[in-house]
Amino acid sequence: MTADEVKCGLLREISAITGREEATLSAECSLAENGIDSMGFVELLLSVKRLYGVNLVDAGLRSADVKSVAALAEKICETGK
Amino acid sequence: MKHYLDGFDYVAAMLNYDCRNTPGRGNHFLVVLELETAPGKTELAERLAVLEPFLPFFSGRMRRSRLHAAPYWMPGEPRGIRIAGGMELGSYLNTPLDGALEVMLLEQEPRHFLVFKFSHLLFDGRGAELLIEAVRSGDASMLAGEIGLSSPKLNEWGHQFRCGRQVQRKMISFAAAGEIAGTQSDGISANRYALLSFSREKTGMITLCSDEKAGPFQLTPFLLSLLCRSYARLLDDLPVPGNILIPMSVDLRGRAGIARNAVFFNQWSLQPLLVPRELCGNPEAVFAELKGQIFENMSEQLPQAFRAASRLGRIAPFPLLISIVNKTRRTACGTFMYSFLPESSLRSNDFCGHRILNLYHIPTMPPVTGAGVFMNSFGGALNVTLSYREDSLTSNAVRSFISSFISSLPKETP
Repeated sequence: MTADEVKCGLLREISAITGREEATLSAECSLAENGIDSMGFVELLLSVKRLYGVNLVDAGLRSADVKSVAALAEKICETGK
Repeated sequence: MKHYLDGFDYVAAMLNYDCRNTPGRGNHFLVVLELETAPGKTELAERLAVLEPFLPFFSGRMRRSRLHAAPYWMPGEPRGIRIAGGMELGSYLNTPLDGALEVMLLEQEPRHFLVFKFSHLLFDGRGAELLIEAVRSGDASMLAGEIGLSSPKLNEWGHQFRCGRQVQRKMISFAAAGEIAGTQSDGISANRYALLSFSREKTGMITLCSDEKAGPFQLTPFLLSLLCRSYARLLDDLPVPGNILIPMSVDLRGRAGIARNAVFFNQWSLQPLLVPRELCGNPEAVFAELKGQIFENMSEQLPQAFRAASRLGRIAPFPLLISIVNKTRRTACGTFMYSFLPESSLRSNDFCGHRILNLYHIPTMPPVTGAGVFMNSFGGALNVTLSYREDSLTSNAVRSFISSFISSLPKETP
């Protein structure tokens, strides 16, 4: 999987979780700016595990990893290697 | 068209019944707006006029369908929203509420308060804030949409029973872990509360520390891990042994088919969290335990299962449900209730030209669990309300808890 593919997948999942139209989301904005709250964050990590087989729950995520959807996509690809 | 009650509406009604002999005669809560200046009664009444189409709901009551016994909300004769005056908050909390909504203006120079009193029969914390936002903005469209369930949901027995089994397995696993610490009330004592309000700067520091130590979006389990240590000390003071079971309430708006802007009725569910008593002195260990359980619960859709399973109880009379709760309380019900509204539903800090300085929630507690901790944020500032029945906690225990919790918070930015 490429970071771009993961990025697109994340935006789809964020749209499903937040109810916001995908076109209104931005990969350059943070998860919070895209409408993700703490419960949504748990749901997103569970989706990541389901879709990409990558478990981020205990991966020591930092704020920098969620500063944008693109950054989270990079983290997923890096962790999944 | 009937407005059927969902499972947690019935739970709220049961808790309301269980509070019938308390001074407040019911399970209601306050949402308090602290204002820089105060609106007058006339100004306030004009603003409340946006609620006029809903007055029949505020004076409604629960009834049962003669056809299938499912509970529904029957609107009553419309009455104006009472604007009470000048009572101290603690006293106001312990006076009965006639209907589902009342408002009070309180002047405690130099402070000014606009207090909304809500019945849990018709509102939960988030719904209350959404209603206040409709009043604040004058936007009646916020209140549009379905009110309650349009059908009684009696045709999903299989799913509800499966969810019931899932919930039962979870509760049995808690009981198997040992005694649960509890501080139940006698059912007639007054409600007391302690409110902690932290500045924006302090809240920002707490959030930064949480991000640094616990990771992003972990503020709830981070704060809960600190709470557990302080609450364990409170229990030590009483003394009350046992593990700490926290029935954390979870807002389900935007999930499980519930509209994001649903104003009326109880759109929450439960996510119970168990913390072994011996872990409580170690917040890092408690945090890891809570984080793991939260992810596991969400993975199993436990809050959704609780919600579906709760529909099964709607057929049972309140005295029967309460006797079941009382029989299992030491192993099932919980040590203290907990909820956190991390973001306010108010879109502005202006109320009719009066600046809102803060907004906090003060719920009454049902006899079981008898105590709860409720957090909310407004304008970047964190508020923490410890609400308890007078006979559940001693003054010394409450003081000890407050002191311990404040001292456990981060002192400086990481």
